[in-house]
Amino acid sequence: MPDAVHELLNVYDREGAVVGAMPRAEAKASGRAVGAVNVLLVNARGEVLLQRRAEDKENGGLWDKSVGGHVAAGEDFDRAAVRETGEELFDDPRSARVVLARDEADLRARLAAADPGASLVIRPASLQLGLRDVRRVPGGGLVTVVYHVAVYLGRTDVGVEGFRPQAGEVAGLAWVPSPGVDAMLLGGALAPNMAFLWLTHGGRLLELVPP
Amino acid sequence: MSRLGWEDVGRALALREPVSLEYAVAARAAVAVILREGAPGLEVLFIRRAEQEGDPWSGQMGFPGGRAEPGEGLPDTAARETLEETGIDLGRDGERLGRLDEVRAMARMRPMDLAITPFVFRLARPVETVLSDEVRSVHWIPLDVLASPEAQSTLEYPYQGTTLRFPCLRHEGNEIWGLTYRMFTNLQQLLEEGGGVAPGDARVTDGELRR
Repeated sequence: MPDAVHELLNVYDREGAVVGAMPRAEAKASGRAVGAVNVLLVNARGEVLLQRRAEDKENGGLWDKSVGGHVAAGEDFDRAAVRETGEELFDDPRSARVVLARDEADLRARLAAADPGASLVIRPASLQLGLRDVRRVPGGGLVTVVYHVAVYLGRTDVGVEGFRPQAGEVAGLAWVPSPGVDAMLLGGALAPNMAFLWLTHGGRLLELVPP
Repeated sequence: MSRLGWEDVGRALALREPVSLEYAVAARAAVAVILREGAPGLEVLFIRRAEQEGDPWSGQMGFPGGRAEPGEGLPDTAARETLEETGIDLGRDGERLGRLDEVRAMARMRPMDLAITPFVFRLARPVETVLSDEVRSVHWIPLDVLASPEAQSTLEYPYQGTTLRFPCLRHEGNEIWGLTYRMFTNLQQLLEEGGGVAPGDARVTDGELRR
């Protein structure tokens, strides 16, 4: 596994065009935006998959989106979303259980053809340029970071014990019904980025659930 | 498949430096993950906490342990609490093999200002247990049984009028979830990486429960 600090990331201009690649720390210090992917997953019960952030990370211990990660150098958002989803939920960046759909119609067709109890289908939902995030650093203090974030919505019916979360990255997983996510948001249990995603994309996410 | 031995445990604990929460927390606690050689192979000790009002973990399965006293070393905390709760004298009958990742306690889904350090001990000889009022029962459960597919399950947790689903391990009516699940699966993952039994890859052995 590449050392996280020296891992090469894409860097972008304000409009979202790739202008180069830099090691993570350098990219973040350069004032250029780096790319990130955020994935929200829902199951047939209308529950949302949340992951608890590892305690030694920024915003450690808080509950966060189903999957999140950076776009590596030379990757596009779609490839990063598929890789990060496989890595974080199945401990396998090339997991065949992760399927990328073009749009919502394609997602429904692929869900019908696949076994949602074993696999996971995501589709791109939006691109947020220059999204600001606020983070508590382990040990105290706050940092703000600016990202271009591609948001993906997806469906899976894998049980919470059926995932194989990546050691060291994911401190816990839970399927949470939407009123539970609301309560966690108001109770301060969600990472700010997850609160943003829930308010902006939660409605569309829940539309993926059969009535 | 070969059965797990002490060499496997030693190799697993030496694989990498466990995570330390180096920042200041208001309180620190330590628990003992105690292994012994039983008839079905290596077994791990869990306690079932007594039902007590005001205990956030009332009635749950856990490891013996508790909060550190001022000036006390964390391995000593784990041993002292184990003696108080179970009568097992790790100073006399045990050997400390290493430690696992530190975790932060949670309450109502939010991180608490309390860090927990798990230490792994080998119990060298058979001992009698003498339970304190805080402990209802002790359970020696074979590692192989907890790695079997039959043990992997889901726990339904009531939260703010909804039900959240967490991964758990089930064994003879007992549920291992939350922080205890997290600390134990940390050990399981290390054993697997070190070449021992993979979760979901083990034969179920006779899971006799003893007091």
